[in-house]
Amino acid sequence: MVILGSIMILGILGFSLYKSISEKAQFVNAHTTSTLMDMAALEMASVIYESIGAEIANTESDLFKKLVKATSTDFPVKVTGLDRKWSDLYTFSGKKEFAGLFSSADVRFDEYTPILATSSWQDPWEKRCNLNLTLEISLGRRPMRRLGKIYRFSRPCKIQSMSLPIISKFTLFIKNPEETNETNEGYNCYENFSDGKATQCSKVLPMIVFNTTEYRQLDLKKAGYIFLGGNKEIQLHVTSGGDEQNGEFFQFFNVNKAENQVPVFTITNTPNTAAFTKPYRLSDSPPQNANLAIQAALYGFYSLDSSDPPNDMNYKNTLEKYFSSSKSRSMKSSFLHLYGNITNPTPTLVVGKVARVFAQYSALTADLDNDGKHDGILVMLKAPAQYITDNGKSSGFWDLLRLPTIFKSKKKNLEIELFSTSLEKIFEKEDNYEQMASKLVLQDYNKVYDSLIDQSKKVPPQEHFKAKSYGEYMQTGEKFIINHDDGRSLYNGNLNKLMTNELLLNRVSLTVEDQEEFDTTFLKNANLDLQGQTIYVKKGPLQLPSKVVVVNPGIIAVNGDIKITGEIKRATDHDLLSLVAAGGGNILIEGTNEEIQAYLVALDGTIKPTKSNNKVTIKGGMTVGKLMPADWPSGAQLIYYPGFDPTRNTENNYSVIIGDYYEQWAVEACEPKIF
Amino acid sequence: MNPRFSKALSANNPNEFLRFSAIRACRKTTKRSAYFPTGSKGLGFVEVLMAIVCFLIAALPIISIFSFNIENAKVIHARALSYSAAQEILNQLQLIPLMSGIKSDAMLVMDLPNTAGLTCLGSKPDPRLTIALSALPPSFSRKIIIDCAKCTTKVVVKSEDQPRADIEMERTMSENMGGRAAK
Repeated sequence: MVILGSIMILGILGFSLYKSISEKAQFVNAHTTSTLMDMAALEMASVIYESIGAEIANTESDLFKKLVKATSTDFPVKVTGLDRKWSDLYTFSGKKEFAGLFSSADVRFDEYTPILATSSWQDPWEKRCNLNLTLEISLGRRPMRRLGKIYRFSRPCKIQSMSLPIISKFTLFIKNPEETNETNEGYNCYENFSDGKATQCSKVLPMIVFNTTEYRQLDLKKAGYIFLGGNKEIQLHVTSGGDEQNGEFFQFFNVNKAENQVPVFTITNTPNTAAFTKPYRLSDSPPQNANLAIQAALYGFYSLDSSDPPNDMNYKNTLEKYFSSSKSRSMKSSFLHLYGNITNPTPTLVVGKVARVFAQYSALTADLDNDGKHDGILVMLKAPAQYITDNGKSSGFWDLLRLPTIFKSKKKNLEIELFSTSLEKIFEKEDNYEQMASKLVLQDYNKVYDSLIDQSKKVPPQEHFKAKSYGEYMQTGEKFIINHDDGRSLYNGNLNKLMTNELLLNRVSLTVEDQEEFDTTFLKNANLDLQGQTIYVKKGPLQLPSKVVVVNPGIIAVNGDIKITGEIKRATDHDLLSLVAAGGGNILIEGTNEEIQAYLVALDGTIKPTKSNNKVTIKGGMTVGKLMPADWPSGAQLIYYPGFDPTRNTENNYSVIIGDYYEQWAVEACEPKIF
Repeated sequence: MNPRFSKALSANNPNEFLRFSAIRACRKTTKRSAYFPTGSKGLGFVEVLMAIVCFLIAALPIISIFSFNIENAKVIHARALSYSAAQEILNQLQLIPLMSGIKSDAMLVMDLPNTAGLTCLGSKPDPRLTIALSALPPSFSRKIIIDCAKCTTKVVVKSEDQPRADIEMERTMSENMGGRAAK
C-alpha cells in the first residue's frame, strides 16, 4: 500500500511536473520562435531592400525603367520574380533553427506623389513614393505550435532627374543681370578693334556662349537657352569684325555661308522720290545722269579701326547723333557673346528683355553707266545730332547735310561737279532722309536667328523664327513654358521668380556635415563617386580637388561657397555633375585655363575665377544671381552640354533612390500558413 | 467527558466535524494487537528497504530535474547575455554605413573589447563607424566578421564557461540605396 501510494503520489507529481514543463516549454518555444521570426523578418527585409537597391542602381534593369516611366496611374508598381533570388541570399537559410520557416513577400512601390506638389516644375517622371514590403512568415515544428506573423516595412523612395529642374535647359541663366543700356555700360565693356580683336586697354575678354555641341545645329529646341532676367531691357552691343574668336559679323550671314567681311547690301525700300525712281541729273555741265541708290553696311561696335591714325566707330562723324555727348552710349561691345563665334555659331532662344545693338552705315551711291553696279559713293548719310530737338527738326536741317562739291568715281576715273544738286533735292523730305540715314539698330536678340538661317541674303532677312514655332521674338520669361520632346509638359512659370529652394526641395537624398565627411564618403583618390545622389553639405565651403573625375552622376548642394581648384571631367557621357552654392554662396574657380565639365549654380550669389589670367572653360552650363564682367578679365567659354537638357532626358538621366531607414515598421499575428 | 466540552463538541467544533472524537475513540479502543493480528511479524527491514528503494527510484528523476534546472539556469543566463550582446551589436550595425565606410573588398575580422564604451570599426577614428558597447563578463568574448563582398555581417559571442551559450548571428547589411552602383 505504501509503495502503491508512493508511486501514485509520484505519478501525480510527475504528471503535474510534465504538464507544467510542457506548458513552460510551449511558452519558451513560442517566445523563441517569435524571436527567430523577428530575426528572419529583419534579415529578409534587409536582403529584399538591398536586392531592390542593387536592381534600381542598374539603369538597364527592367525595374528601373518601369519605375522611371511610371506615372500616377501606374502605381502601385509590384516587384515580382525575385523571390527565388532573395531566398538564396538569406543568411539563415539552411540553419536548423529556421527549418520549417515558410514565408511570402509582397513588394510594391506605392503612394505616389509628385516630387514638388506645388511647383511650376512638373516632370511627370519625377516622383516620390514608398517601397512597401509585407512579409508573412510562419515557423514552428511539431510537437510545438506553429506561429504566424505579418511584418510590414516601408521605406521612402524618390525618382528624380540628374539634371536640376528648369535651369538645366539653359546654357546661361542670369537672374539679375547688370543694367546694360545707353547710359549704363554694364555688359558692354569689351573694348575691341573693328576686326573684333581686343585692344590692349580692354579690361575684359568676352564670355563666349556655345549653346550646343552639335555643329551648325539650327533646331533651337535642341539648344541650351539663355536667360537674362529683370524688368529692364538689356541692350547688348554686337562686337564688330570677323575675328575667329571674338568677331560677331557672322551674326549677319547664313550659318553655312558665314563671312568674316563687313555685310554690305543695297537698301530696297528707298524713298519714293524722283531721284530714286528714275535717272537723276547729277550735273548739268557736263550733263551727267546717274541711277541713285543707297547702300548700307552693318557693323558691330568697336573702339578703334585699322586706319592710321585709327578712327572709332563714329566714322566721319556718321553716327554723331548717338555718340555726341559724354553721357552717350559706349563704343565698347558686349562681353557676352550669346551665339558662339564664327567658328561655331550656335543659335538659341534668348529669353528676357534682351536686344542687340549694331550700326548701319548708309551711303548714297551712283550708277553712272546704268550697268546696275555702283560706281562710287556720293556721300555717307550721317545722322546729325544737332538737328534732333525735342519738338522736331530745326529749320536748318539741310544746311549742314551737304553733298561734296566733287564726286570722284575711281572706277570710271571721273570727277563730276555736284553744284546743281543737293540732298534736299534728292530726299525731298527730312523724314525720307532720316529713314535712310546711318543709325544704330536696336532689335530683339532672337532676330539673329533669322539671319543665320536665311538663304536669301536679303537685309532684313525673312522671318523664320515664328514660322518654326519658337514663339515671339521677345520672350520675357514671365510665362515661360518648357515641354519635353515627347510632349510632356515640364514647366510653366516665371523665370524671374526662380529660387534656389525650388531647385533642391525634396531632392536631397544624403546629407553630410562638412568637407571631411564629404571627402570620406564620396572621394576615392581622384574619383568622385556620387552614386546618383543629391547631396547636401551642411557646412561650407566645399573644395573639390583638381583633376577630379566624376565616375557616377550626382548633384552637390553646399550651404556656402564651392571652390573648384582645377579640372573636373566626366568619366562617361552620363556622369553628370551639378554644383549648387546655396545660402548665398559663390562658386570660385581656381586653377588656370582648366576645363570644368559640370553645371554650376549660384542663384543667390555669383561665379567667378579667382585668378585674372584664368580663361575658364565650362562644359555644362551656368546659373547665377549676378554675373559681373570685371570678375572675368580673361573671358570664358561656356559650352552647353546636352546631357543636362531636361527636354531630351531619357531614363538614363534619372535616378531611383530608396531611403536607408524604415519610415514605418509594424508587426501583427496571423494564422500560420504553409506556403 | 466534561460536559462543557461535550457542549462545545455538539455545537460546531471543527474536530467534531472532522470526526476527531471517533479517531480518539479508535485510539482508545484499538491496540497494536488489534491492527496486526497476533502472530504477525510486522514490517521487516527488507520491506522498508524496498520501499525506500522504490521511492528513490521514483524520486531520482525529480531530483535530477532540480539539478538540471540549476545547470540550465546558468546556461540560459549565459545565453541571454550572449544573445543581448550580439543583438546590441547587430542593431547598431543596421544604423551605420558600414560597407561604404569600410570600403574594402576583403573579409574583415574585428575583436571587440569586453569593456563598456565606444568602439570604432573603421581603420581610423570615424564617428559614423562608431558603436557603443555594454560591458561583458571576462569569460565572454565578442567579434565581428564583415564580408564586404557578400555585404553580410556576422557577430560571434563566445563564453569560456558555457560553450553551449556561444552564439553566431549573421545579417545582410542593406547598404544599397539605388541611385547608381558604387564604382
